[in-house]
Amino acid sequence: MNNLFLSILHGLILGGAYGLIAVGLSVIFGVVRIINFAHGAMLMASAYAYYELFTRYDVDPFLAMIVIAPLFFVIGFLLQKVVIRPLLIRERASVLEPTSVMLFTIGLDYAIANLYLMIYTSRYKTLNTWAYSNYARLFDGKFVTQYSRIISFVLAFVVAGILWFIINRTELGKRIRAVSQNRDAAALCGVNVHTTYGIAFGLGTAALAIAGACMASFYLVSPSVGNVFGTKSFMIVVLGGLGSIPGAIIGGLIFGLIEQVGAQFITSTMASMLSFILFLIVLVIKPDGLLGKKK
Amino acid sequence: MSVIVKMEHVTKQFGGLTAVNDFSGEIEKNAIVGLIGPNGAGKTTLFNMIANYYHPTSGKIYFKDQDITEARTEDMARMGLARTFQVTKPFGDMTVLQNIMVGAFLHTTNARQVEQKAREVAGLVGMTCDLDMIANNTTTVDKKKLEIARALAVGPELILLDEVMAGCNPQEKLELVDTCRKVRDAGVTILIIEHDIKTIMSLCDKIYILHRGEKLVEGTPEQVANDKRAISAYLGEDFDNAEN
Amino acid sequence: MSYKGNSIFKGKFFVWLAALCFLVAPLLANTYMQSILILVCFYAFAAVAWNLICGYAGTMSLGHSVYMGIGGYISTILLETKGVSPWIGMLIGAAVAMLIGVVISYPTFRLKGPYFTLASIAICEIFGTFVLNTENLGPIPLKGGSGWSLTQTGYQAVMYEFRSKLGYYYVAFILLAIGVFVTWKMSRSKLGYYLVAIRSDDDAARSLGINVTKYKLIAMGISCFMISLAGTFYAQYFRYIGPDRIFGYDLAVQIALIALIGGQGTVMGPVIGAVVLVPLSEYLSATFAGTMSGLNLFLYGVIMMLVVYFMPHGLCEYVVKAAQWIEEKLFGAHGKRKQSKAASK
Repeated sequence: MNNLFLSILHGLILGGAYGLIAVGLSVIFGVVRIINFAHGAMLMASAYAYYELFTRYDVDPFLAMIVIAPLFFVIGFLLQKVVIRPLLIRERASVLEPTSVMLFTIGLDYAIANLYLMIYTSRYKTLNTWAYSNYARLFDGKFVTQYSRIISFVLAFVVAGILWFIINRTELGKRIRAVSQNRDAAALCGVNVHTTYGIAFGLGTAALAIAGACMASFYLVSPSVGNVFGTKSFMIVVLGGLGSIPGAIIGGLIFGLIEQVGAQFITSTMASMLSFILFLIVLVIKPDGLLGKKK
Repeated sequence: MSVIVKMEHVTKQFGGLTAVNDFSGEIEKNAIVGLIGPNGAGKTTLFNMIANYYHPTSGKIYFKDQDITEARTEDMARMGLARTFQVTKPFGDMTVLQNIMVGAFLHTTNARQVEQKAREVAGLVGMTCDLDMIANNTTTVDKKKLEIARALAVGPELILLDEVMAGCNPQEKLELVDTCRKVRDAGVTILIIEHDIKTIMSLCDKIYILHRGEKLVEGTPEQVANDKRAISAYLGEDFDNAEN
Repeated sequence: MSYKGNSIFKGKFFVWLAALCFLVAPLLANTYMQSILILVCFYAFAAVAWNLICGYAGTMSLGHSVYMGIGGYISTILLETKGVSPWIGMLIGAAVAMLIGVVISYPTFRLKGPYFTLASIAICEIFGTFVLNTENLGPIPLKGGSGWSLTQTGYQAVMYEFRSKLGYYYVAFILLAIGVFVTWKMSRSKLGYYLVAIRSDDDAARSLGINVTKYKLIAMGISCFMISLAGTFYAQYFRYIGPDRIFGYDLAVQIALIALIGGQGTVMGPVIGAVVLVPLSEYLSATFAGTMSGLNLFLYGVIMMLVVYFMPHGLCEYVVKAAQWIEEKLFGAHGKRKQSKAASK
């Protein structure tokens, strides 16, 4: 019984990190209505940025985040504004769903992942930061976990809270919401649609860079992490309801719980299969996700 | 004249909003029946219920004496009911001819027969453009005609036309009116939604005016034009003047 | 435009010429070139199978290799445990893959656009994880992550094992030819028209009496059947099958990218994609082997992005145009007027 309790705690901690990775994806989908298939690859790219900063200049990822996150905001903004925008405009004329953007991000994902494979090879690296190698002991020393995991867990809620606040409580957020509900009407009211898209994309990517700092300090860095976490974050986001910020966090927690609690009974890889099965079931029964709104 | 569609106390609610309220009515075989009313009156909702895109909250709909209230969309074409869309939905990548052929494939798998049928129908609706053109590249009026042709290709007894004339100039409207008459003469009943009163008055045998989800008036164009309620609610006081 | 892509068949000359090249080329090539040609046929066939449902009906699957894996595993297990010839095992595997494909797709076809794509990734992931972690499924050995190395049968053609690469090549070529023929037949039949209609607008398709799910399932069944044959070929040719690659995300995306870059929803698109991409990536990975693994797939990604930007209908459109141009020069303009008129508008 005690083991179960501990595995629930581990699951929640891991789930928080999953939620943090997924929340950026959810923001982008919620506003721009595209699934960024390069999400995982960009996560991986940010992790390598932290890796470089740590090994070369000994900068802790949680510190480097202050520079990397704004940098990724700019990258996301430009990606939307310069690269994706023409595709969206072209799609506008013909079909309903932006397929070409999806194909583009699939290509981008493949390109980034393999570019890093070329540069860094498939060997994985760990960052021996303070938070990685020091353990917190809670509940009379029974619950032992890396500090980096606890920081990630807290950061998940902080980042989700900030994003939620920006979108729901600020003037900028009002524009973002207007665009996400009806971009033509928003454009008529003088909102610059594509700049707003760019900002949303930037916010999502910046959140992703923060997740990258967490991942680099509690997991490992390798070209394939993008694939592993990217795929999971798609599932998490759909599970929670695409576009819903609390949904992404809750979806992440569910995934974390299934994997950690399930690992008490079956092998951990089998447990991650369970979460995919749950994802499929939810998708088929309620395509809008647990917290998703009906369109 | 026998009745092809019969609606009994049809009501449709979306959440708290009642889009169509207690509508009863009939469409006679081989007639052109018009459905008019201001925006949001529930015309398209009523339409979609006959075509079974959604099902009524309550009430019954009969098509050729069969209860179709809960039928599936894709079964309607085989039963003899076809429709067009308010916003045209051509299969953009295909040519005009291929678009029409999709409709004609319903009753046979023989590609040659299908092509022949498609060409016939294209002639009937008066497609003026090159049939080998990609559908997305055609003009608005040709897209409208394409939708009618595609729907006709399934061999329906009743065709539902949702604002086919919207966005067309007067000349094109005349062409479409002509098309509708030809379609009716080919033995197909028409239910048409339209905003242009003048067109609909000249085209229809019978008109329903919907207002806020309810049937306001029904009757021949003359009866409707002289109806006090219709004039005050929709046609406007100076309708008679505008007519001339 | 993409639907018009099949007008390449109006210029039958080029198709026969291409077929002739495919037939003769391996005879003139050395073993290394032959192995590349085999891979071209293999990937082209897989992409053709993918294209049949995903390209024509527009249901972007990024997990289609799962059916390849099912077919490959079944024929391999039958061969290794019961001594069943892979020629028979291949058909049994294909039948099972078809069944599984149809059963799984029935609920997931309700999902639209990216949701379907995500579901397909999840399905592939589930199968892969399951096989990776399962040594025995009841009485059936799966051998988990180590996979199956096929035992030698002494180069018996009846056991799908050939002494020279030419044998494998012609098997792959015949599979590809069948795949292209089936696609071509389908593209001008009711099924083909219906699938393209569904891809363009499923509401409009429904209004014309098309049972969207039914026709998608039929195409899915054919597609799963075909791609699982590729799985058996994979196992026999490489003499190995394991979960890492065949149930992996990379292979699934690679197949999709070949078809997409070549031109989805066209008969020849996937073949053109494979002819361009496979030799390129094989050449690169041979040249930079060890130093820069990933370069070949990196190029897939970059080419995909460029194709999305500059040729949304894939390479096929340009190949068709070039073929028409050459044909006009060679045989005069007769008979081609209609196409070029439509194309120019």
